[in-house]
Amino acid sequence: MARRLFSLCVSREKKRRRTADPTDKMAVDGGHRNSGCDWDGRWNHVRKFLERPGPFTHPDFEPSTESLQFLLETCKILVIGAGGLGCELLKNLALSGFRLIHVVDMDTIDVSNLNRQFLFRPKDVGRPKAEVAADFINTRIPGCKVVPHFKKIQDFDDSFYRQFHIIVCGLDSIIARRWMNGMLISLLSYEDGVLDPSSIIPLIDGGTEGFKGNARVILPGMTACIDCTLELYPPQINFPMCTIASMPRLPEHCIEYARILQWPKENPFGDISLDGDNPDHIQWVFDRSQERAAEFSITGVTYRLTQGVVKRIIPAVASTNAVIAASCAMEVFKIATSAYIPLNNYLVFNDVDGLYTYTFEAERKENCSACSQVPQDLQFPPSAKLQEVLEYLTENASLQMKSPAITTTLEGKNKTLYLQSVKSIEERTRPNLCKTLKDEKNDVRFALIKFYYHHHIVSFVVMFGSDQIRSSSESSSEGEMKLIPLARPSLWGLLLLCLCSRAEATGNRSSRGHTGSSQERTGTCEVVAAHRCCNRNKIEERSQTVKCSCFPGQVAGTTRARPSCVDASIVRQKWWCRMEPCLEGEECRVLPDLTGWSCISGNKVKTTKLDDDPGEIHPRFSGYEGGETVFIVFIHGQGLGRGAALFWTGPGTSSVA
Amino acid sequence: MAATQASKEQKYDRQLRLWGDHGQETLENAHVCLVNATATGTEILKNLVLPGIGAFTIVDGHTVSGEDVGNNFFLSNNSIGKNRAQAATELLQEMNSDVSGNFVEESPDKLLDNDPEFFHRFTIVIGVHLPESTCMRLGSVLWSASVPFLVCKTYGLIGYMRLVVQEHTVIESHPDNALEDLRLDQPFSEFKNHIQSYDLDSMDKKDHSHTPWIIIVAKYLEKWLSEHNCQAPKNYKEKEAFRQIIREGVRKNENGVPEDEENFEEAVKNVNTALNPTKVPTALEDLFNSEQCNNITSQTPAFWVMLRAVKEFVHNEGSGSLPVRGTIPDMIADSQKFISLQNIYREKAMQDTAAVSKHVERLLQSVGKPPESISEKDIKLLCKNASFLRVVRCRSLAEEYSVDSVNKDEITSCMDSPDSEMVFYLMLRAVDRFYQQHSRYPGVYNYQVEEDISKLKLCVNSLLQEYSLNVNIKDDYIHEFCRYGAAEPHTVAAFLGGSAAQEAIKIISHQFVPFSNTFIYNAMSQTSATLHL
Repeated sequence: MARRLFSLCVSREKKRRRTADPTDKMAVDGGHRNSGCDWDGRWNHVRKFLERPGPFTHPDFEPSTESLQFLLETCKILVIGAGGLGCELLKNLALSGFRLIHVVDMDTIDVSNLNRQFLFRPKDVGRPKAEVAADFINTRIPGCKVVPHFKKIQDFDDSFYRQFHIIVCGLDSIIARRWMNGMLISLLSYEDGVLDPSSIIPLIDGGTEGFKGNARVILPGMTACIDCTLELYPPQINFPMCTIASMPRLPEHCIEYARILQWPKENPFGDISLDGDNPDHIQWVFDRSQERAAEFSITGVTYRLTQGVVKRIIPAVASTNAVIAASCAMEVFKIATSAYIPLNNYLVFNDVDGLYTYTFEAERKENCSACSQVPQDLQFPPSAKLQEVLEYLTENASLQMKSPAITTTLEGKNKTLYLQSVKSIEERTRPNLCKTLKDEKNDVRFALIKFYYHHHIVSFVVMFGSDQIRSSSESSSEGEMKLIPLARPSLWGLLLLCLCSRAEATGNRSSRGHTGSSQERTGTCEVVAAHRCCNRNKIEERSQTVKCSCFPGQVAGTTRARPSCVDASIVRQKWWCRMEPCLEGEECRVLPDLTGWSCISGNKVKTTKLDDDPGEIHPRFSGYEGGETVFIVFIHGQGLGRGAALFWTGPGTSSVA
Repeated sequence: MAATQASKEQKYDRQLRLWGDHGQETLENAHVCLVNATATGTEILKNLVLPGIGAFTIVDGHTVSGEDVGNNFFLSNNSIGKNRAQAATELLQEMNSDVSGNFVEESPDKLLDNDPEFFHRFTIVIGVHLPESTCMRLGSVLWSASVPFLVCKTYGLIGYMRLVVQEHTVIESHPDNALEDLRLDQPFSEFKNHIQSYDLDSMDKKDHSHTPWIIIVAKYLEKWLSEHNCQAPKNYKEKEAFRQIIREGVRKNENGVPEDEENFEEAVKNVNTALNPTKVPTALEDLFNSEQCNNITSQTPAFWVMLRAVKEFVHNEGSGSLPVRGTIPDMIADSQKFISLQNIYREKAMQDTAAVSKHVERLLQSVGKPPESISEKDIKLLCKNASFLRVVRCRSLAEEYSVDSVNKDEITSCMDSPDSEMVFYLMLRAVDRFYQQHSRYPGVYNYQVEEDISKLKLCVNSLLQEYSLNVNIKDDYIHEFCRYGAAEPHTVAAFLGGSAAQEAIKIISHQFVPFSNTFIYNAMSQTSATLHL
């Protein structure tokens, strides 16, 4: 029973199964199993690796006829992506004996998928990839039970991901990979700083581009994660705006001109954004690009190139996907069965010139912002502008954050300094980018800045060291800003606490006299009614109705247990903890179904659950026990037609119906 | 059921960006033969049917077994008992209506007995899981007919491929990190004049900061050469000094602080590669000196005629250099300056191509062929890719297997490290020997595993003895191969399916470079090696 990797993910099930029916197995092992869908010889190719000892197996491997049953009946695999790699993965896993497979994909089938995504036919164009792929596999491979999810990975919470033994990714986006990586890291549990191996869900990740690809095995918390090796992903090529606008040289520059500058100005199809899948749109961009190219005597604008630039198409071919998915599936098999030692831990493949593979051990980054739990100090000069900090976050090879939100906390309130994703806020906060972190009088302007990325991945706290700060922290020297990425919410809460107390020392001064920054103009909330009553459990409920006047792009929310205006995107995306709803010293956790959050300190848990539709307030209150005071806060945002009802419940109510 | 051109373009869009319309055309004209529709075989064909080869034919005399359906996606359990070629053809063909699927319900041995010429019609033949004797027979038929042959085998966690092609020429090898062809060390006269048209000192600020870095390097190189006896910077020290001169050229503002001139920064960054001397790559020199290049007949393929013409060009008009490639990388510059510089290179490339065309014409004339038998387009393509031309030559299977011509050096030097992938090659050969002697593979049934270990060991020893190979094969490998019991796990088959299909596409399209000549994949450690046998 001592299978190291095996036991990482699957020991519990095995044990349970063994004690449940210790004798039955013997009887069925020899003959047909799952009668009706298995036939003679069906698993011969697989069984040789499970039932025979060998010199190269994992040290914990025990040959057994039960291993096949485990694959067929118990081992649960999640495949993320039903595209080029996903189709291959489903086939490979199903033919290797895995039957309990889930597949998640948010895409529908496009004609251009058909050259490699072999589970799709022309008649399927427009249908969800996950569903068509699952149907095909379940029909072709008897007994296989692929469950499709036509959804985004972000639509699921940790309870969904926790049910799988192994997760395989066939994604085309680094952002999605990082999200998945962050999710699996957030599932890890540590006891006294020691990783609990049963909380590890191995992640197998594949990627391809043209004739190149890679496959890797990630044991979150143990081996290099996606964020540890961000440098391995090539940065996206973006052309400088001045090149596009005034001195194009390449056909690509002309296409970008039409796409970025001409389209929004001319709105040729009305007020709709450019759709790369709409041939009329592409044709328009192509025509404009040709005109611009002719003006500058640039050659080489073609329809295909236009489409490629607009949609940022990555060339893809069946063969590379086949190779990479095969390697990934092989690793899933190894981990699930211990039949062999898994890949350690990165395979690179390239068949442009001959056939080339390279296998190496990607190393964990000591201060990885996702998996290391180690705060990272990044120094900025005293004259650094917010713009420079932003550029660093987005361009630094090991961070590569996409549209991070930048906020600061002043007097315990959350203020947006810069937010790219909401247009109105972007425009309003843009002037902040030119500001230095210290003002002319050498006062601290932004004492405490936070950067938000995926809530599962990183929160950054930027601190500008002033004299006062230095007095309370010897490690930060004068004139430097500290950037502290924190991976895990618990740690985040703790550090937040100590930083906030420092920030208060400078808070008064820093909020003075910056008309350009948004914090002063941030909407205010006032309590319009306070209610007090006892419910039938004789527990006092307090609620207040609050009126907030928020700026466009903001809605009513909760910050530090008080009503506040928060960025609408936080509410929309349900990244509740970004509002900092909890008090200092409390750890914030988003509820698994994203319907609210918990504030945790010690063994005290305050859970807040929001109504599904923030436009209407129907606070639902559910069971709680104990004698703690409970209070409800109604917060109603005005002028936006939406509000959020927030209420807290008593201790121990970690799950609210 | 051929799709319309427009819908084909959409369907194949992602791969057309890799091999172009002309590459796709070669695929659509290709007829691929697969011998044995095992899991590995159908996975290979799958990855050829999807990108749209013209036609395939499966040759297979086996009937489908339960075991076959267990690891093969293109067989279903209701095909058990039917002919395997037919069953697989149905499910493969179903994937892509542009492809015509055919099957022959006969063993390759029978076909070789009765109609060996059957195999001559194919663009490439892929033989999977062939016994050694069949493989050798088929190999020799195809070798003499100059039909490329790709041998594939999945055995346990080991994948094996052998490419057998006499000569394979590649014009578009699509190198990953090619050096630019800028001729800064020997500027042609039009380029020289163009450089002269710039006067960095008298330019206004905007023009100065938008002068392409190529011009900047060329300007400062002129200066350097005049001060250094016409010797360009060679070593690190000299190049660093040269960079410093360029840095000093950056304009300064009224306070003496250097301006932000990104084009100068680019120039400094590019000094190292830009000063690489222009010369004919040695691999290309070798091709110039090869028999095919020097002995042009009416039978000579176009590639060699064009190559000879390039050689003539190098020795005449080119004064030792290849035709100018005619492309420059993007760089900081305003549109007008960039485009006019680009045109200088482009026009020179056109001139050079025209000169090569003249040589082609003359060569064709000399062997009595019309000048239009080689198109301008092809000549242009070859000239543009002149530095990257590749020729792959493989030995025949007969040479590899003969005791007299076996590549002992390669085998023994690899086996200096006993866990080299070479050991799997030797094990596969030993397993073939086992099959020849026992008409079955070792360890297929559980009860055979133990007894087959010693039998397989005998085969290993007799193989090593026959070829007088003084190498040691660890017993672990013999145990492992008996454990495999000829199993063909789907994942290994799928890996080979992807890689073999791509090699076939390279052979068909004459783009990218095929491996030569033996490839081993070890799924246990996820490593691979290319061996020369």
